[in-house]
Amino acid sequence: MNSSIFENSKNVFLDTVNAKDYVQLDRVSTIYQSLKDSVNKPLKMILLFGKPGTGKSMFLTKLYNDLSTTKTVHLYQTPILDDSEFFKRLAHDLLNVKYQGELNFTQFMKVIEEHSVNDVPIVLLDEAQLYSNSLMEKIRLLSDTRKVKFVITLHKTEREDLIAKEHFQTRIWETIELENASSTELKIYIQKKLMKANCFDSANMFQSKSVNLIHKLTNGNYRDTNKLLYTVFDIYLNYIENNPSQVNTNKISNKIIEMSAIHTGLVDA
Amino acid sequence: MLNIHELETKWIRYKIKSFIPHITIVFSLLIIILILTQFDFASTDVIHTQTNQGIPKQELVITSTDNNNTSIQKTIKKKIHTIKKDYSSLNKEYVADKLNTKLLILPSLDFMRNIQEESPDYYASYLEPTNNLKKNLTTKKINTLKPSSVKIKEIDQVTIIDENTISEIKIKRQNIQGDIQHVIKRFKISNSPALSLFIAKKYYELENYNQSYNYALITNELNNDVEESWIIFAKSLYKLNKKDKAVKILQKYISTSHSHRAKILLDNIKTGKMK
Repeated sequence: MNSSIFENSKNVFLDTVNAKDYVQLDRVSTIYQSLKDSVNKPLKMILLFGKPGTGKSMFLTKLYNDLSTTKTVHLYQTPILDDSEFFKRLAHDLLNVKYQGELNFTQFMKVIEEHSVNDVPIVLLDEAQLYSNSLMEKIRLLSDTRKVKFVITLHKTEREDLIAKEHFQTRIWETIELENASSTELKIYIQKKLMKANCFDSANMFQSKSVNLIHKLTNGNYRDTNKLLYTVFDIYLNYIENNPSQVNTNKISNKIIEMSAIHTGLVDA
Repeated sequence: MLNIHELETKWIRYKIKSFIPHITIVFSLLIIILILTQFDFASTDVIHTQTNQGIPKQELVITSTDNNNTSIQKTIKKKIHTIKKDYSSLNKEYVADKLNTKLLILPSLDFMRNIQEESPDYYASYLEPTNNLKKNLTTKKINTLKPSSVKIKEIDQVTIIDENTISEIKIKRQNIQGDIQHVIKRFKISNSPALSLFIAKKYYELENYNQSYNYALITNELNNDVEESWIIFAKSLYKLNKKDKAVKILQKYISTSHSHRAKILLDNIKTGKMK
């Protein structure tokens, strides 16, 4: 097998958030469709939550890509932690007004209430757990004006659950939870991802036993799987270059999977 | 940049680590199996005794869980031999009953070994010939026994505890009164002096001296040459506060039989050592 195939396969699993890399899985597609439907409903807020690496950011990016052609959508992938900067950015995106000085919440509320909109703009906030409690409260009040709709993503931890409770419990009309992949889903995810990049040979190397081992090591977490498989192909490349006789291209070696898990810290050696 | 060599080393360490619990479990299981096997081989070898209806003798049945275990068989044989010795007097009864012949019943003289040390010097001359006689008799009786079974009275259960560490055989004695009644029934059928002597001895042990006197008397009537019977007879009289009568009986018996035991008993009665 050509080393370039392993090189390409390795790059497939680079940890990036790109809507083009979105892999359609049955369960994930259903969840995504329900998210899209929720956006069209007259809801103030939609909460998307799940453990790290379950694909929340990918969902948000995919939603942004899909909705941007038909709706006014703004994606804030990186949290804006300063209140004034946050409102200035909102004013710029929603009202097309650029403020030079400070813009506090009261001023912004006054401006936005005066602003009449036919189509309610959607603001997608990734990593919302990083916003301060006071800012989250202001975002909640903003959503009450119905001049703007928020879709926020949260990590599912105890603290973040608390935030959700305190700020959104009565206002969130839709909650969507993302979970880790099952073993079968993980196999489809890996193979689809590789086939998208025309790496058919390496996609064929993933048999159920190998995927089960990967699932056992990563718990079906997409980010951990990407990290692990990136290292797997990196090790394969290394063997191809230095000791090609040891490489079996018919199936993914469990030894290499375990070596990758050791390297990425998924197991303690 | 990946350090493959270091990764491989870590991987080997990881594999060994992950196999440790399995190895531990397998090793523990092996130990448990070994221990259980040991227990299994050493499982109880129970010796049951059964009482035949109408027959007071009790058969010793030896069962072993491992028929091929010759060591167990040897041990059991050894124990049987010991039982034979210890219950030689009972064996005699068995032999008599088994052969259903009018054998001369002579009580065991094993106890002579014990009293030899404390016997007065002037009786020493009698000891040697009596011992020889006893040895001959005992050997003769034991030879008639089959090695596979031993019939013993009074034994309900004999248990060999462990094949390797057998140091003793526990013999439980149960329901003596019931046994006596059983023997009496048999005696009424067979009129065997061996049985009446047995009953007399048992009653004497139970301190029922009237009954021991009666059965010793019956025994003497059936066979007036049984030393043990005369001894029990005299002892019962003594216990019934008929010391003079006991002395007379013994003197009369000694004059005809020259019984060493009778002489000792007479001496004890006279000197008040008799308990």
